[in-house]
Amino acid sequence: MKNDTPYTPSTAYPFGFLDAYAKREIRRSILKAVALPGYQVPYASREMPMGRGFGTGALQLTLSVVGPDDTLKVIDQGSDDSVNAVNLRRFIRKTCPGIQTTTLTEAATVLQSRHRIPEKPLTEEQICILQVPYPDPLVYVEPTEEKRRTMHGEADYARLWVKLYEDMREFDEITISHRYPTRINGHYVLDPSPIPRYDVPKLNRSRALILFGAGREKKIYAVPPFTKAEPLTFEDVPFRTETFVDADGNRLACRRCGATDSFLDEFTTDTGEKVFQCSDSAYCLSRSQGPASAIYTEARHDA
Amino acid sequence: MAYVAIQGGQRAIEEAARLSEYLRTEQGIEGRPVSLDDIKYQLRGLHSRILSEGGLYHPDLAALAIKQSMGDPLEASFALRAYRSTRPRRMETAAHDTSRMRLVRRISAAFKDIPGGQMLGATPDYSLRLLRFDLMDESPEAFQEIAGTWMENLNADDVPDTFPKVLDLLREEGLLASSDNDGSEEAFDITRQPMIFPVPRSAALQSMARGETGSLLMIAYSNMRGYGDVHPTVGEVRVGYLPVELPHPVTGTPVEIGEVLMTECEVVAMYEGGDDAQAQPRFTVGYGACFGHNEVKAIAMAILDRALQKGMQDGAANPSEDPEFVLLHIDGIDSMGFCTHYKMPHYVTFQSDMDRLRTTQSKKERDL
Amino acid sequence: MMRKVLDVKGLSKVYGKGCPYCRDATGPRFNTNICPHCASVVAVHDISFTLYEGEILGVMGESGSGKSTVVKCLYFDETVDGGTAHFFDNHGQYNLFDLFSLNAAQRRWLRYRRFGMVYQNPHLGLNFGISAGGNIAERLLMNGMLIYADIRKRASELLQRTEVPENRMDDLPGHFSGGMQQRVQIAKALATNPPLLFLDEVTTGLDVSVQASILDLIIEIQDQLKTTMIVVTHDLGVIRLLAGRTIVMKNGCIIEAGLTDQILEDPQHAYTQRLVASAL
Repeated sequence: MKNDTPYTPSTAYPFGFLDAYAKREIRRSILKAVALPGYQVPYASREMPMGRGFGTGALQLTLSVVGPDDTLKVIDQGSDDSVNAVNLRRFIRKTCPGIQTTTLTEAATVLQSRHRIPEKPLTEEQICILQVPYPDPLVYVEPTEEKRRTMHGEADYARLWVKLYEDMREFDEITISHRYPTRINGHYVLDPSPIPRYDVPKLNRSRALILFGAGREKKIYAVPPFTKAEPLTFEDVPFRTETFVDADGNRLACRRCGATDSFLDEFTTDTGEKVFQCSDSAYCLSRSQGPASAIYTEARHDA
Repeated sequence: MAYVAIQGGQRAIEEAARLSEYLRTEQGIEGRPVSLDDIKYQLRGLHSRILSEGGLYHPDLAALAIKQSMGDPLEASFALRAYRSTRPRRMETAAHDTSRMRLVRRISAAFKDIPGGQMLGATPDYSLRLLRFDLMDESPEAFQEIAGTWMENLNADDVPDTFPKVLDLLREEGLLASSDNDGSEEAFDITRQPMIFPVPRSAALQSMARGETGSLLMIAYSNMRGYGDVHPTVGEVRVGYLPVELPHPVTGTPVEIGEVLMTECEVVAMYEGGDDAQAQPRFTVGYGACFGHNEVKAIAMAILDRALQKGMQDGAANPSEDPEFVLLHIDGIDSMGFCTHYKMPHYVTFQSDMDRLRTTQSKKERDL
Repeated sequence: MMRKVLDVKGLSKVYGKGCPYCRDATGPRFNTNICPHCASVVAVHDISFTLYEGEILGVMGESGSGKSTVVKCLYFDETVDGGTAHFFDNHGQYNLFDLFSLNAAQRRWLRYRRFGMVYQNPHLGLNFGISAGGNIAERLLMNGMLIYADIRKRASELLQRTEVPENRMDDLPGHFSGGMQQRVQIAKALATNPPLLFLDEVTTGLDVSVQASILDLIIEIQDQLKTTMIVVTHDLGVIRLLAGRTIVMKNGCIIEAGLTDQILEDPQHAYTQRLVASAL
């Protein structure tokens, strides 16, 4: 069978890749999620050209939210250059002609991120979209989705609390590191995505809207601006973030820009030396070489 | 150590893509590009799988997906499914009657003989799985001769176009419950509506119809072996071309726009009592169907359909009867995507884990 | 005048479809719970009793009498097919609950905050995947106690009261003996000082000496906390020891009710007479 229609990207795909009906459903789900802070809104998640687990949920949110006059930043593990971020950014540029991309946090209107919230505080002009593998914190204690829905509806988080109690009695510490269960606006407890504890306080009374997309699990949820976001913990057990201190208790600094107020990546060099570096690459470059150096144009990498 | 250049990730991805292209064309002057027809005709089994798991009946694009992924079934289904998700919905068909299929194969294990006969068709079921070394160096001439002589002396008039459904025989005798489904009930649409459990049977069947063959087989097998009690008898397996009809935009009369190759299986399972003490017990039915010629999938699906119906009615006594367990784990695109994602960088989350462990270790050390 | 805590009227539960003849064709007169017309099981039929504050009511009967079903219905483990039950709550302010017309959230609230339940099978009352202290903590957490040190203290107190060694607070229930598991269950049930406690065959299957010590514990608790209790059992000895008043059930119906002493000394119904006479 011969086909006469040539398959070129511009004839094959609409702006933002998704068709109008898909975008409409996603936008309505976003509105519902904002109206019910922390509630997981089920939606018919579409398949995207990258694998489930690579950010298809957040991607659908981004594609439904951006217009040609938006400026987009995409990061993974805090870095604009991480393979996943590069891939997503390339795809969005291809399917949203006219959109600007940037690595400078303050220049972006929409930020899509995997596993980090940028160091520079976000503003009311910005939307932060996080990639989520597990939307539901109750999955720690209950595998059945139907039962979990009832538990959320009744704010019945007893079994989750008991898990925290059991951690305390065994380790004298709550051992959850990333994906720390956080209570939004006093009712729903959500999984804030695999951001480290370090970033959880950024959700509380954030100036920016924070959206969460789980493509494979097919849920959208949100923390609206200026909303309470409290990590679950006992009243007498303070919520502790990652500390980055050396053996003497001194705060470690980034070896490139000297920052002592950012989340640090730890790795071992070829010579066996252990070094620390800002995870937020744009923040690091801004500090060490000035903000302009953090802007990186990719014009020559467009396909 | 050199600082990771900000362009490093970009270049790495591009080089990886170029390397894959090289592998695809590695034969160089000794090879020739595999054509879409080669795949459609000589790799039918793989092609049928991709049509069904991609969830889009487009034989050319399914072949293209196989070609570009170098035969990786999960990657190929993925590419086809991703393309499908961008297609706008123009129309919906009415429910189609599969007794109208133009069959190429049709058998029943329930009866020795059936109206229309047991037509084995092209099946490897009774072939001996011995390697055919004569195919190692197949010449184009030998290849062409087989197809060339096949059509001689064939009497096309001997074969009827359609065959009656075997299960209708059981219905006539009252051994099977007659269906109260007249096709007027609207089916769930898993591509447009979110699945919130409990889901209707149409949602379960749709999920399985484009489910990954190995996943369906594995769970159905567990039921067959004892983690379940469907005890199926294959009432009918039929493979053929179903005419697809759309209503004419002006007159509304159904017009045939083409046909799709599909496989359908109906299994008869354990009988159960009627709803009230007066009603007779009857056999229960499991239904499986998919695009392309894929009998293992259709049979596995039919067994799971029966198991899930039982699970929804009586509560799940094993994994194959649990709708959440089955339906959330059989989609190849979802499962392979998540499995693959573990190769992505997770160093920030790992950093967070290390911090927790170090804190806990230092506490323990202080106590000791 | 004693304060009423629970008022049950006409409680009925049928397993199966049921038919118009069920109730008239089953019961102690017919010596069966199974309806000859529709094969449904009439587990309990037309049970009525009143429970007063601070007393222990015994529900006695053999297997199949429906005694456990009564308590399961009141604790919302089962749904009812007829009857009403009113719970009079006097906790800070006075509240009347029409138990069988509550929604799921209200039922859960009562189960966590006003009722306690101890099952014969510890697997029903305890989560074997978390420590003994954790089991108790669950009830405290649902009651709004969010200070870890307080939770530990309260759990420890409860285990002490039920005579579970303090150094075993962090052990999993599977590591305890049967008697200990029941003690942990009782501690868990008492965590939020419930005004009403259900005990369903809690000593059945335990060694005689262990039974005795658990029964002693129950008497002690009742003495100190004045908890109102319903004790379900087939054992006359338990009834004699714990219950002030008793109802005797057979094939789903109450055949005799009154002061325990009276029933045991001077049983009126033939079946009760047989029961009392056959006790070792």
